[in-house]
Amino acid sequence: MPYLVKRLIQIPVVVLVVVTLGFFLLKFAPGDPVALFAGEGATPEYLETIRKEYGLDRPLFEQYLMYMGGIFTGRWGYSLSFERPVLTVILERMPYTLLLSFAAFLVAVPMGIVLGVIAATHRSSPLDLFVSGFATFFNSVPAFIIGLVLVYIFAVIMKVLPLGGFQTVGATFTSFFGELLDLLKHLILPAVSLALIWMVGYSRVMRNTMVESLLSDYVRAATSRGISRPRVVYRHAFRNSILAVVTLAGIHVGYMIGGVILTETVFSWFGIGQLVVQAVHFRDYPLLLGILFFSSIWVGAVNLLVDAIYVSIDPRVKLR
Amino acid sequence: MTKSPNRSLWILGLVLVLLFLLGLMPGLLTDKEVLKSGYTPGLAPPSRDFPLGTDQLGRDVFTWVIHGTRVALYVGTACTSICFGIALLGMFAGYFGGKVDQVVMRITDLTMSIPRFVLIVVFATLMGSDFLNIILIIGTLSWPTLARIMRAETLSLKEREFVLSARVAGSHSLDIVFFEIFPNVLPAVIPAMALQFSLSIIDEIAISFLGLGDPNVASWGRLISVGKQAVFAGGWWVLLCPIIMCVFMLVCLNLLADRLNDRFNPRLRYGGQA
Repeated sequence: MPYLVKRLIQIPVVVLVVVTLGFFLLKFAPGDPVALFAGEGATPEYLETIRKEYGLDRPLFEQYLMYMGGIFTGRWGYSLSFERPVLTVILERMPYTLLLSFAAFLVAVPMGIVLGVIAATHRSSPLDLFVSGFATFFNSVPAFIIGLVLVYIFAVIMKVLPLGGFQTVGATFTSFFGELLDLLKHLILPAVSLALIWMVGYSRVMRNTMVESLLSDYVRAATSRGISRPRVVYRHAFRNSILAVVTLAGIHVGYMIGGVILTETVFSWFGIGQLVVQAVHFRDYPLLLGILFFSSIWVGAVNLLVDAIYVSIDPRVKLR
Repeated sequence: MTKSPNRSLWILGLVLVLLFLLGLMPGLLTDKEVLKSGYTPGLAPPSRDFPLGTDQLGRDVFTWVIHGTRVALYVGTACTSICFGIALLGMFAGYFGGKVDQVVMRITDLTMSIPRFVLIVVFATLMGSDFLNIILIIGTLSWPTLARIMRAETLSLKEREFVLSARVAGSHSLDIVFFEIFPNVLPAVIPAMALQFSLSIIDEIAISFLGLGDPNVASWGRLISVGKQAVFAGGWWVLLCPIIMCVFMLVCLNLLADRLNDRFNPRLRYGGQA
């Protein structure tokens, strides 16, 4: 069986395990979501009605089958706190998470690659040491801590950028560009805090693979054939590092939803990460499960895509 | 840096030992009760009595930061031990191969393809914010990297002569795994454990920051979330003190992991004199 097909089959297996695990754990969790949903002072009769309405009075196994059946037909259950279908709520948030991640990528990937190449071509120089030190620092610290410090400096003290959210509250925009500018202003801080963390990943990977390439026989052979230094660096060594960059990008995109939970919380960004926190707060089990389910599919799909990219950019890679 | 990797390793080791001592004996530096409110009527700036000030409820920030060190070290040690214990499976998978290997690697792949932090949050919500629960959750979801390293090392070690000679001499498989392979796997695993230590601390800080932590535990994450509110009333010290302390510890741990790698696995690093 071709490797990619095997991977494709792996996705539903992972999702099945995750959903099963999640479903049964949620069922046995302490606290009654129905009581929470109904609010204080609800009569037992009212609770019963809600239970009936949502099918929560049926046997556990029946509920599980219902849930599974629903998942494959696009009915992911009903969010208790939003009173709307889970999938709708998730898909409504996803563009914001994608926008934030995309903005961070736009900064992180090019900057990281440039820093890595500079460090690799100036190996052991003060410049390399500086880049390494910078990388070690941001590699150690989580993005939301960087975010908190940035908010404190730029929003609380200097008051030049908004504290959070994605739009100025109560503002009316006369033009599309005015609205866009407002969105960008809100995007800067969360995107920069994610970008700083991601960036040093790329610079590290780039530096290490390039130093390895630059010391290798084929680069030495190219140099001895009289090929100019820039050409050796960019055509021979650089291209060889792209695979490592793709791998890291795959990890960042795949684990995006988990990675942005805290950053989105710090900045009240209207994405999936913040949705997780809301679901937790309201003990909105169907929503929480839906997010877990959604992010598992996301990881699987991204991994598959990365494998496909491998095959297409590196002829040496033959996936079994 | 390239001149004396040993010296920097010693300095880092010393700093971390001091942090550990601080964590073991918080009473050395502070005589106040942790998480006890009402020392001051409200937010108070750093003073002689309260070196790092107090928070909105009049709790002493200095004491909280010191006790937070203890919590972080506890989380790091416990979670890393759990990871290490489960990851030993990787060694068996590598040594015995076949069915054992397949099963262990399937589980590893599966664990790795689940969005870890989302699952940690889900588990923490479900199982309640008990400190022990949180440690168990982080530990049992973070082992695959260590297991993979152990498996890869075992695969290369089991073909080496000293292992083959032990096998020819008739040693029991378990003896070979524990007395021949295990000691030689350690150099590759120890730096990864130092890294896991810091990752576990980050996870716990994150969980507490989200408000899912144990309310009776003085975690840095909780202090940071208190500080996030305090800055609006000018209480920068509540936010910045725990941040500085946790960044300091995390950077030390990461540097330690790097230096240990330089020392134990010099081939992995391409810098220096290569």
